[in-house]
Amino acid sequence: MKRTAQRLPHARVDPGKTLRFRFDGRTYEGVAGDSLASALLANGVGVVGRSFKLHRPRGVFGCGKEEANALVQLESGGYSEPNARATLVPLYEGLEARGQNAWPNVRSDVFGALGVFKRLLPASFYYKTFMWPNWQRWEGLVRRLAGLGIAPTSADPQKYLKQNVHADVVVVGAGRSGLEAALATSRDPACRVLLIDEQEEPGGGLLASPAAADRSWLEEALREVAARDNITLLCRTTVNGYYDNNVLAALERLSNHHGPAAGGAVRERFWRIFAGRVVLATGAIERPLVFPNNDRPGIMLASAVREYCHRYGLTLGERIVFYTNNDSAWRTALELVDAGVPVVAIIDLRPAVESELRQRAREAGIALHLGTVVTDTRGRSGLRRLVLHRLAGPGDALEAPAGTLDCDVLAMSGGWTPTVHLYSQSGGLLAYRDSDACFVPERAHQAVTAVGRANGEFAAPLNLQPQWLTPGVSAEHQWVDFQYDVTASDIQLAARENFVSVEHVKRYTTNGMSVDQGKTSNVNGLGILALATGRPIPEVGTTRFRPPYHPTSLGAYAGIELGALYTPFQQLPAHAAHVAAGALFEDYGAWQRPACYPRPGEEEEAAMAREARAVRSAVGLLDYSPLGKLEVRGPDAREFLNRMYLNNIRTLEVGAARYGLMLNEAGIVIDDGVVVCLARDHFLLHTTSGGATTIHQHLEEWLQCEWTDLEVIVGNATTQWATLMLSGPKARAVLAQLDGDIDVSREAFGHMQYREGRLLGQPCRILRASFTGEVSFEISVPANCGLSLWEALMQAGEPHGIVPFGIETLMLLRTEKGYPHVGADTDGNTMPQDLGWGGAVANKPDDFVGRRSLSQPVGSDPGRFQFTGLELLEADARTVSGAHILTADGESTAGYVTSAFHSPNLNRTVALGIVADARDRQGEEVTVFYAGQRQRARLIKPGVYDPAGEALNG
Amino acid sequence: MIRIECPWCGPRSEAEFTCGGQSHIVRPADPAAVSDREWAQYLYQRDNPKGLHYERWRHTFGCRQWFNVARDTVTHEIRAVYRMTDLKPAPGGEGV
Amino acid sequence: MAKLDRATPLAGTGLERAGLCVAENTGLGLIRLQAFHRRPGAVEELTARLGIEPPGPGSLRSERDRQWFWSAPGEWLIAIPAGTEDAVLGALRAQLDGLFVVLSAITDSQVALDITGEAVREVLARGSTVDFHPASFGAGNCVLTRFAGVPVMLASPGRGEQILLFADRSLARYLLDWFEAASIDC
Repeated sequence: MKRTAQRLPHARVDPGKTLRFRFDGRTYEGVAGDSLASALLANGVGVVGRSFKLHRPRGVFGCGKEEANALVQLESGGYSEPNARATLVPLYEGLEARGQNAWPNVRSDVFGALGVFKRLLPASFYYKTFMWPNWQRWEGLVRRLAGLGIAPTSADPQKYLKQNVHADVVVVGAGRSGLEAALATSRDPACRVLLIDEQEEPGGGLLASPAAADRSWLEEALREVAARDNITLLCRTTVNGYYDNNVLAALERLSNHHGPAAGGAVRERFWRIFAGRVVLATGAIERPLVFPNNDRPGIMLASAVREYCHRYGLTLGERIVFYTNNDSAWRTALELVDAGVPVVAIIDLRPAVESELRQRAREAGIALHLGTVVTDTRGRSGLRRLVLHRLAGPGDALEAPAGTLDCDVLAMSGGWTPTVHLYSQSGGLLAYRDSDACFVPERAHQAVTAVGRANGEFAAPLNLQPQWLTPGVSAEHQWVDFQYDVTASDIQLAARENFVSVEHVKRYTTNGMSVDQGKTSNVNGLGILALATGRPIPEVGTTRFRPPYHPTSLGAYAGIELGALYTPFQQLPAHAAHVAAGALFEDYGAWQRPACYPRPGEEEEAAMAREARAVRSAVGLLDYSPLGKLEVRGPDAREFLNRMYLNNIRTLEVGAARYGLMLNEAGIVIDDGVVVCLARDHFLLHTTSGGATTIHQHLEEWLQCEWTDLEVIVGNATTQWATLMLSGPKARAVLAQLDGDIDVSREAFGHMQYREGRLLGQPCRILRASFTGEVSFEISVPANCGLSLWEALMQAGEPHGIVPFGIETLMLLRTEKGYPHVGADTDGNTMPQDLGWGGAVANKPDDFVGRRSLSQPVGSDPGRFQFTGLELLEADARTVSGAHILTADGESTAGYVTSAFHSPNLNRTVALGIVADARDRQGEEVTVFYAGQRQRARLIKPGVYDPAGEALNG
Repeated sequence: MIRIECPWCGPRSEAEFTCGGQSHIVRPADPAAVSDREWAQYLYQRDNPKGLHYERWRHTFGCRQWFNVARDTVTHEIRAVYRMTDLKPAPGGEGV
Repeated sequence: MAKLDRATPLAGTGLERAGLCVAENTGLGLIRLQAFHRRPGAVEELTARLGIEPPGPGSLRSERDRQWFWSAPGEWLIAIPAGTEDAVLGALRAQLDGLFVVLSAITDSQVALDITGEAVREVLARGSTVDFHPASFGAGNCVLTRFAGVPVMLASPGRGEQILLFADRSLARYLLDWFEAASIDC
């Protein structure tokens, strides 16, 4: 690789503006407009990487996304990006990059010696070697030696956004064909056109053209695009995926070209595009030729040599040779000579080439070798020499040696592959065109068309003669996939081992599985497979194209959905008060709720114990606002609820409240709560805290889908009301202090009763239900008054020793009482009879949702897990929810501990569970198993604190 | 992603909806009178066609209404959208 | 304490950026009207009694000091001046007496946000896949959609580029935080 002292004129870089950068510990200079790759080439850096398996020295091979060798570790720390293609990294001041997969650096990698072991390391060698004594012994070593980049270990500090957009026409690719399509479709001012290009600037292939006509056409087209309001041009944006309903995904690089200096600016934006129709102007990618040692630094794609010359102003070498099987490379060679690049020879494996091209080549002083193939190359850290042979005939054996040729750059072209990934992802069908040896779009499945080279429309005929690998020489060192070190012999091996499906060959050899996803290796690979299995290429077919087309930062998929915004959260009406009181918040579903309110220095368990003692001896206050409040109204409301609840709702009188169970159609308990009859045709349902939306949806489903004639309207009033639970022997005394018109005296307001009225100037609803076992008032006021009510009750309760208490304390208290909590003490199998509700079912004459399932055989299976209390027998014993109850033989599970707390009111553990046949086994001893430890327990009636419920009469 | 045309709100992304599985499942008029086998079939037996599937969807994040969809399970193409109370359109019939 | 204080979900806090402003609208009261739309003729009866045609799916309509927003078949959200809920409920109940219609005050259950700024449509398109181009979402449109992962109503009453957002009050802080993160470049 030759260092370029002076850029060629007409290059699209700014030689006046130098940029300093570091690669593998050395400092270099490039110019504005360079990519990292072009800057390295300008500095004569030949070796930029080491290959995946064998650590072979590799140089820059391409000029864009097809780059297969120049993979670098870009920047460091939180900005570290492994496997960045140097051809896609725009150069910026201070850029830092390192070569990968090498030690101490890519120039002098000690593991280069591995090349000697190639025979031992064919495709999928790890299924056959490193077997003794077992693979795991070797795995660590092999993984350390293999691999390319290093995953970052620091958090990514950069910001990403996601954006949706709708457009009537989306044009992918702003080269000539794309610009023409965008200008044509945007003539209608009402048509919204989105023009997208993956490069730093628009122009596509025109950016590599030396022709003045091309350059002025591009300028004019871009001026016109900018002038039209209805065209949005997005550059630095790669369309990554094509999904159903013409939905596309794209990734825009907003500030990558500034590097870490971009600071807090948004780095990338992930676009979700809803397209009316799509035009794919994605061009075509050149293929390499497959011949022995075709991977040396200095061996590049002809189109890359062209682009480095005309766009970046680099000559690259002193003796440039072309090796090809088609006409496009000849035209490139002639263009380069015109630009002053020393092209010394063209080697063409075809026996005959068009006379006009031959004539012009001779006039340009280029030596011609027709019907000739390259059978070897020399030069470990940089190409020095080619070994040539004459072909006997197309695809045949070699005829005779044809000498050697000194050169330092080999520009190869094995043909062109239209970029059809998105077309295929959209469900479009491809057809194989023999004459150009490539797959082209044939039949669209969605509203998409391909234009230009993406559609196989080449500017001039290729006259291509395919040669998938070089005959007459070993396939061992003929590279197909440069990134993953896959050779033609690997593909032949796969075929011999009967992996003949192209999908199997891909995975067995890893051909096409690396960062470039086979952009230059897939077609060569299936060509070799076709030969090895004696099938025509269309029969071999292509592997399935899947998004993303190009590697996408994980941060872009996350966008802003990180940290606190990872998932939506809900806050309570009195949230500010809970924060001020030092609440320990936990997530209960989407709700942020206080688990308890630890005092400074207090552990969670101690806080819960203090709160639980206070509730039973004085009074506590809990924000119970997520308690579901559903209003069910209508002439058929009573009948409807009678069908939805296990309980008899038909007989529920106005003003009465009843605790009820709701089942799904399979008979499983899904909810419990108190139903209040407000009027003959008006009911207020309380559902499990946090279950309001689910039960609302459940009721609506039956009304909308099954019983569409029932005149019922359901309204969800859960968040319209803030609900506070005031609980304890002093609760009444506290509540009575507040100004209102509801008589809360013991005589006037009994347990399981409901009142409406006004409290402190606001409408108020109070339900005397109890989940703690103490006298409790569930007080609801309009939610905007919730914070104020909390403060009023805390103030009124102060002289009585009121404490705020949280959900964990509530769970402790209700466990002491043996009250089941649906979802904690019930699982996906729990039927009402398991909770002791069999009698209630028998007492109800009518059908209800789930009733029929209760009498299915499974409903009376012996061994059903039934709700029970558990008494731990050892002193100071503890257990946790999730501990197993063992079968008599101790071999398997016969139930679980579902709730367990240390009770400060009883000074021992209280626990509940679901255990096989528990209702018939009361008093029996069982074994509790958890984390390797066993202990004895007895099955008892749930609820050991105040079992007679005397506190509720207080 | 699937775009579904809600009968009220118009075309929206799949993420706004919840799928309710096979539609036109008839609840036995008298559950007490059916055999265990028939009840189990009503609860659990579902078609799994490679092709046209009649299913329910709910516009959970929009109008909260249930409606029916005739969708091709291979191509995801939605061939018909009709209300919960409408009759099932015949395959190959109008719009399907 | 003689009376309870009222505090709106965001207590007046909002977001102000060069290209986007999110402010809590505390001047509205909200009423939900639910009619049993599955009975043929129910909505026509309702329209006749009201004397105005309530808006259809995707639309809002202003009459007098009330704004009607379609929120489901047979269901509308009615925005009125804050504090007038009782009076309006009374008037509507009298007007619709005898019909099976449910009227509820739901002011407290919602947070209302006014969103303005030149980046409004772009930022909204970061939260929902609805097309917010003026041709598809203009004056008189209102949509119920999934926004930032939660159910939300977005309306364009037509006051310039001001968008009105209604969501459950418990999501107020989450939505404000979302707007702050999503408009970081505005």
